[in-house]
Amino acid sequence: MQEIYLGGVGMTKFGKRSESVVDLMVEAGRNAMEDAGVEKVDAVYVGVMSPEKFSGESNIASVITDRLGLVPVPATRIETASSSGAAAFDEAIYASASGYFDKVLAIAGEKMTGVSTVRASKILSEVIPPQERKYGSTMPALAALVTRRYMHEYGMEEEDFAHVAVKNHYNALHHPYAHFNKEVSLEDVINSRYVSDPLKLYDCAPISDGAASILLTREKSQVMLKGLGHGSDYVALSDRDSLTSFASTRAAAEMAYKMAGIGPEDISFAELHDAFTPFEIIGSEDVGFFPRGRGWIAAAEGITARDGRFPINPSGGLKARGHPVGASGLAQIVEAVWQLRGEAEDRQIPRDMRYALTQSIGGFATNNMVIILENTK
Amino acid sequence: MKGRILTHTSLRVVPEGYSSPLDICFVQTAKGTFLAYSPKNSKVRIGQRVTLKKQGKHYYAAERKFLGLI
Repeated sequence: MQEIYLGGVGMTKFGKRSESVVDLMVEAGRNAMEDAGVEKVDAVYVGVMSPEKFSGESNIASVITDRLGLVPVPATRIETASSSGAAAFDEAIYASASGYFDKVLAIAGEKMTGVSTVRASKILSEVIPPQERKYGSTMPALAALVTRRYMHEYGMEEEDFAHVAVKNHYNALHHPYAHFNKEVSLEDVINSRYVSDPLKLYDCAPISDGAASILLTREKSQVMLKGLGHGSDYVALSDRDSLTSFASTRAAAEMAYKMAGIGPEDISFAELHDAFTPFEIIGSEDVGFFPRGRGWIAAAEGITARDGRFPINPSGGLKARGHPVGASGLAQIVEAVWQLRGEAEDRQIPRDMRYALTQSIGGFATNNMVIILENTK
Repeated sequence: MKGRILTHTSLRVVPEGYSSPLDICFVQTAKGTFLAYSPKNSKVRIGQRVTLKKQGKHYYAAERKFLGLI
């Protein structure tokens, strides 16, 4: 495969925004193009989960491409639920690596706060298959079922995964684009109300607006793509072999490591999909950083802190940077680029780093991506 | 169908049309794993032996002695 570089990256601030989803994605796209120093691209790939239901927008790839002044380049929308941003990146990579296009712009975003929380939860729950949704299952409910089983199998307590929320809020404290710039204490997390026990409010990522963008090119720059993996799983949780590990992440990680020619021991830091705090722990095991059942110990012991031995989610993750569902997978990669370039300001990991890994979960872990980047400097 | 509870939760923030708390569980049986409403008349725990009873489109889990109450 041809070498592909991440020539420019951009984001909007995440949180409750007054702008439309199109405005947000155009802002992010312009930021990435400006960062790369380009005015024209050869193709645009747009990742977004449900603009029709959240915002009443459709034909969104064409609208964004028009607003960016990029007509007549090809404009394509990609959707894989909450990993749509990472999927848009995947498709942009394939387009560039094919040799058919040189400069390809991936943009991802979501505008979720324009509807009520009840309505947003309903839209998100539609990724759950009907045979499980008919019981009133929501994403937090399924995550709670997974978490309780993990606690049973591996001895984790509620306080142990509360450390993930504390860490990620601390990491996002000075992040200019984060939804939350607010520290939370262990007591704050433990004393927050249950959403679906054992998961509490502070274990769940917020409903956010925002967008991210990356300009891919075959021209050399500091950060290049090293590995790309994508795996799927049975849609119904009840059809799976394990409740405490996601096969889609494991498959994606295996593909990405194989392509990169490296292993988990070579990774310097990671951005993992922590829509629910225990998912960061499970993700850290599924991509091979820690043995099964040991990820929670690493989190509780501070190994995954920004200044720890193995930093995870220096951006604050979905939990604190925010989770506009379509945008999150691409925002993780933007953070990885900033960290590898040494441009993460107050949240910069204090060491030289060569490889970064991102992991994005689509739906209830039915369509997951793992991406590995290399710092070529 | 007889089985054991694999995991369970009590959902406090429920979707429209459902009452809080909403207690659901996964039950492992010889025919596979099923989502069900949790037992109402006993403290729910992982590993608990239950029987699944289908009413309408839903499974309900209960200890055998409480099956008649579903």
